[in-house]
Amino acid sequence: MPSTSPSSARVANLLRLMHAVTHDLSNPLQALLLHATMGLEDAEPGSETAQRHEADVEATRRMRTLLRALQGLATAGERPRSLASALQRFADIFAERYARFGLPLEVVPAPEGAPEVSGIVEESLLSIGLSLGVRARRSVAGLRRARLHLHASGSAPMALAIDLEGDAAVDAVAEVAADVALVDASITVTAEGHSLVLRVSAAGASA
Amino acid sequence: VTSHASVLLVEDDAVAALALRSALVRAGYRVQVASNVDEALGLFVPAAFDVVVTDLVMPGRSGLELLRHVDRSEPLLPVIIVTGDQSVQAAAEAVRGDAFDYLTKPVSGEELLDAVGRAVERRRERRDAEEEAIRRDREHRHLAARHERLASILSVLYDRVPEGIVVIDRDGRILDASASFARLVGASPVTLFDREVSTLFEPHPTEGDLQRLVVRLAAATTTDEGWRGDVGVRAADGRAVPARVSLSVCEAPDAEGGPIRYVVALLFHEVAHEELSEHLQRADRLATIGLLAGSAAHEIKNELGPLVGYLSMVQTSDPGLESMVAAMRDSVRRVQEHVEEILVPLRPRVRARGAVDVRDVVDSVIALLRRAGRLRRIRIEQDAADGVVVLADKDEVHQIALNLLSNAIDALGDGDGGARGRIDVTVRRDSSHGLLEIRDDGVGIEPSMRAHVFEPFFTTKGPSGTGLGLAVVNDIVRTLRGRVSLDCPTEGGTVVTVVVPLYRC
Repeated sequence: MPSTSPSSARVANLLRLMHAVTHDLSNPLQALLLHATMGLEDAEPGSETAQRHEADVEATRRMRTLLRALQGLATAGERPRSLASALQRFADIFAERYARFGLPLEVVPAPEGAPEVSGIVEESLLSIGLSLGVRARRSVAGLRRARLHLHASGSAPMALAIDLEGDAAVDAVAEVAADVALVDASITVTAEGHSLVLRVSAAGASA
Repeated sequence: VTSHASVLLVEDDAVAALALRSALVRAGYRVQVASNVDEALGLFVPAAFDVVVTDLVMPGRSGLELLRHVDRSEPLLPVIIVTGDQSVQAAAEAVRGDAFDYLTKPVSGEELLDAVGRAVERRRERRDAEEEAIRRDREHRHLAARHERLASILSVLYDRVPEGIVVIDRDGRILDASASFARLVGASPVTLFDREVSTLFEPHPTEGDLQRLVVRLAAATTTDEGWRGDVGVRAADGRAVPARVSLSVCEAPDAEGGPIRYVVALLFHEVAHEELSEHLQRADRLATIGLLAGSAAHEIKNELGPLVGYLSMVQTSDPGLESMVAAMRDSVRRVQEHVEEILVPLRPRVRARGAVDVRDVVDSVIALLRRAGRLRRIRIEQDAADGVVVLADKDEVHQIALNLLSNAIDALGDGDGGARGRIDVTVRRDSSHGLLEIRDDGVGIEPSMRAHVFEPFFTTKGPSGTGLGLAVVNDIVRTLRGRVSLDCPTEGGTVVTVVVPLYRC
């Protein structure tokens, strides 16, 4: 199903806004993180106070992870970015979310010398991530594991694959593929058994 | 490591600043907070901080400007950027500005303290290195000064001592030679360089060629080897001057820093011995003359006692001879006074330092010289202040005044039968010292000789001088904690000035 991409101007505006907001969030989050850490240091180990502070520290760490992922996206804008950064951001944004639905996410690090990818490729990857999150929430226990890696054996110059395991894997893959379908002429998402494959043409990569 | 280290924290967000400050204070740092770059620069005093932690985006000037300022004014001070700006451009500028670290907010306490701790450690290492460099520089300057001093001492030895000094390389070639050795062999030191020592020394009766001996010593396993013996030096006049030679091996760094061996030869040769012997003989002669004069004066004094008695008897027995006897007794009294003047300096001296009025002593010395007829045709001008009382022994001041006035008289010449010249004597206070100045308008002293006038046996008067007058003055003045100086003004003559501490009740 073809879909229309937001205009470049709109994306640029949104990225600028995200950059400003994430920058402003960094200061209160900084205060929360340090105060929570110091509170934990001061609390008697094992006490209820300590447990609350532990929860605060963990919460701020998660916020920090998400904030950094968003900052990374905002600062990258529409410029090419490394595949390693894109994969790491995917993990930062979705790993915690999937874990809540019982779906552990494994990200295989990008190999040395992997080409840079365009902003569109990362946006497509994140769209898959969002859609997969929805499926995972709906079919709790039907998916056991997700594995994101660079699939080098495809016919396209580069293929990113998300392999799913579990009873609902094949259905989930088909649904997600239908959800995100074709984002850009040079990028296609297809369902291959229990794998979602994001094929990127030479124009989508910037090696 | 971190205790007492001082941090300048620059953060415009009050909430973040409080949290960062709390984390640093808790870790033992002293923290000063500035809310913008201008405020930070107001607090910025060189060496006041060990590390700067700064935000990047702040109202007014940015953290990068602070970074550049620190880089210019105190390059050893590390700066850590802590910012919510993740842009590559900001990080690149921070790296170009030589930021110590670049952290993105929110930073954990662990990351923050790790970065600050490393920065403080780096700062201390750099400061230690800088102090070490300063210490080495100081040590180097001390060593350089010591080398200069040694070189100066060596140059004195090379130029002045009558004994010969020759520095020889391990092949037996001359590297350096003292002036006295060069004089002995009739060559300039420069022309001696690279000469083989065998060309300047007669072979030793048992050791043979001195050059072979030198080569053997230089090749020995240790530098403790040495040799002493009598050899003949081929002097300029063709003689073989007997000399006692002492050879010592020394090792010193060469231009590349590697050890290189030299053999140093010290020569006690006949010519040097003759010079010293001459001085000693002269001193001995003076001592002998003194003893003879003392003995004669004593004998004369013994004879004068009865003579005075006889004259009294004659005066009483024959009143007609009274005027003649009175004249004779007056003559005898003067003879007694002269004899006493000879005997006083020869008596064993017991130094009794106390208050000595310089003018009184100078007056008595001038009277003595006048009686001795040494001031004939000389104009003496005195400008002597009252109450210039110094701490000394009266005989010491007497000796100083006598020697200086005698020198001034000798400097005037004979005046071809006419006026010989003028001597100005000044006595006055000079701050906490008493000053005696003797100025003559005589021939003065050659500039090249002035440096030696206080040396014993140095004289400008030829055979008539002992060379002891000014040396004795110098010696006395030094023991009185005073000082003596000599000047030859451009208008002519010589001025000798002595200053000695005043007597204090």
